[in-house]
Amino acid sequence: MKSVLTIAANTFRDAIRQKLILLVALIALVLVISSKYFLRLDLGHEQLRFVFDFGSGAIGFFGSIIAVVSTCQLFHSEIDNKTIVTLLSKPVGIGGFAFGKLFGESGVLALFCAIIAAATCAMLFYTEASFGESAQRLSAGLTINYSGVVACCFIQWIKLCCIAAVASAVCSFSRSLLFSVVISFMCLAISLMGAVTLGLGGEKSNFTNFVSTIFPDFQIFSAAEAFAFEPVLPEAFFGAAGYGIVYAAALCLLTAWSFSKREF
Amino acid sequence: MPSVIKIENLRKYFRYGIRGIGIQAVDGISLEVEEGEVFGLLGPNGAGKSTTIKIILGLTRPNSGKCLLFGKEMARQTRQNIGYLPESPYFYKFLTGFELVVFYAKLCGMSNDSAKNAAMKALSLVGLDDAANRQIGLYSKGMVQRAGLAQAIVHNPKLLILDEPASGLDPIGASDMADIILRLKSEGKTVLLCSHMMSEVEKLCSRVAILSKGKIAAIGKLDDMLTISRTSRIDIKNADASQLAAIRKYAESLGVEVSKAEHAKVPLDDFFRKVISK
Ligand SMILES: Nc1ncnc2c1ncn2[C@@H]1O[C@H](COP(=O)(O)OP(=O)(O)O)[C@@H](O)[C@H]1O
Ligand SMILES: [Mg+2]
Repeated sequence: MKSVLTIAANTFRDAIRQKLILLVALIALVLVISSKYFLRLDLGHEQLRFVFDFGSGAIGFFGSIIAVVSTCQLFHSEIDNKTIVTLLSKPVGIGGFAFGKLFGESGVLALFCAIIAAATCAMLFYTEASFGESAQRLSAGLTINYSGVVACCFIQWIKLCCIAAVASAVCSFSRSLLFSVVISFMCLAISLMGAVTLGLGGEKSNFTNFVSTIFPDFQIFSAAEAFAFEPVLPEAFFGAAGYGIVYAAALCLLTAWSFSKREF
Repeated sequence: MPSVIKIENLRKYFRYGIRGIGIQAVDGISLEVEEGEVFGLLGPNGAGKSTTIKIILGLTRPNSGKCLLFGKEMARQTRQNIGYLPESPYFYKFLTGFELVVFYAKLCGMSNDSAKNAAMKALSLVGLDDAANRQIGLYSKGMVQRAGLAQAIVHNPKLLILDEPASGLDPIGASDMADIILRLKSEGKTVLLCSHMMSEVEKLCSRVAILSKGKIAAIGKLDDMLTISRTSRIDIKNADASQLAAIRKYAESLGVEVSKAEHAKVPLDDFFRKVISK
């Protein structure tokens, strides 16, 4: 257990020193901060919803990129550079390796989500304050639930961890970084399309059921987006969090199993 | 007292591609390494040395054969007693040498403080104390090799498995490495040394196995292997030509055959080291 944390800490340190990840995170941050200026129309209180959607979208979009690219990068640099050989010669099992890597990655994603969530909250606060005198009128019917925003970002983080777990499972059998990245993005696309279909009111079929068993079911997570302006629903919150944690843990076990079949 | 390493009839076949053509990398190797000795595994490139080592460490599974460490099958706890320096090691570039060794010490279950102490000790033993706070990415090949050795000894293992520790080192570095290995031996550690540098092995190992194409071509005590039967050597100092001729004549009068007489030479690497250290 202790060695898992040691590996996680090392992974975290590795990841945050990668320029590409910093760049993506920085772009996301700048976009969120400038969200107010993207909107030329005066949407009135809908502006708040726009700012929130912008922040939440930035976590989803850029977070997915970070989750896929950095997970694949972390696993493949370890394997291609053969540092894994030295690692496994220490009293660390392959399970410890897989869990450690994913914990480190989830730490990176948590940091990213926390930064973007903080920026989104700040922008929401600033936007609401800029309504000034007419605030009462403009924000009628739309009050920001900051703890709901945080809860939503937390669910988003769980979702990103699921994406990272999918990417790690792909890395466990793939032999090249490019292949891993492409396949992981394909899995992501399948999940997204499943959620879009259901989101548009599509019927659940055997096929969508099958897809949402293998690939993460994003529909479950999207319920959290309502939390920003409405009270947090405990069932939806814990349902999504529980689903995500179980899904990520299962994929992590799959990763460990698949790695244990490999030789280095 | 069981042998530290005991392998029996180890075989490993690597298959390439779909057609299943492959290579028998290890082909029935058996050997034992006793406690406290430096055992040399020699062989040309591709002989199967690294593969054998990886099987011993449990990083690669053999197709058949048995491998016992300290008399037992490999288990995770066994690794606590093993230090491994991989062939042309590569480490996390973003860490400093000190952070790297602390990382591996912690993986061996040490607490933060004892890991730091042990890391400092290991780094100074391999002569890296000056560069301890520099990033590995900035290290030269020889320094990476030393950091690799520090990582292998940081948890004070009983058995060291070193895969070409001197590859890429200059003669001075190689002889430093040899001194460190001798020192570890004097501390009672068992060393399995894998190399294709003969002079290094000759200095260090008491017993060797020579591998060729996955098979053991020769195994035994180095002294026994290298002794030329029925031949002795006498080193003579300050003799001039006529004295040498007289000695030769006397030897022949005793009925001894003098097969070779020439000026003694120092080996080139001794000469090199002497010139450099001036
Ligand atoms: N992972 C692997 N996959 C396929 N072939 C391998 C693998 N590792 C080693 N080999 C082959 O096994 C043979 C022995 O390699 P190795 O043990 O590294 O030799 P040595 O260390 O003695 O130079 C070589 O022909 C090499 O190509
Ligand atoms: Mg080798």
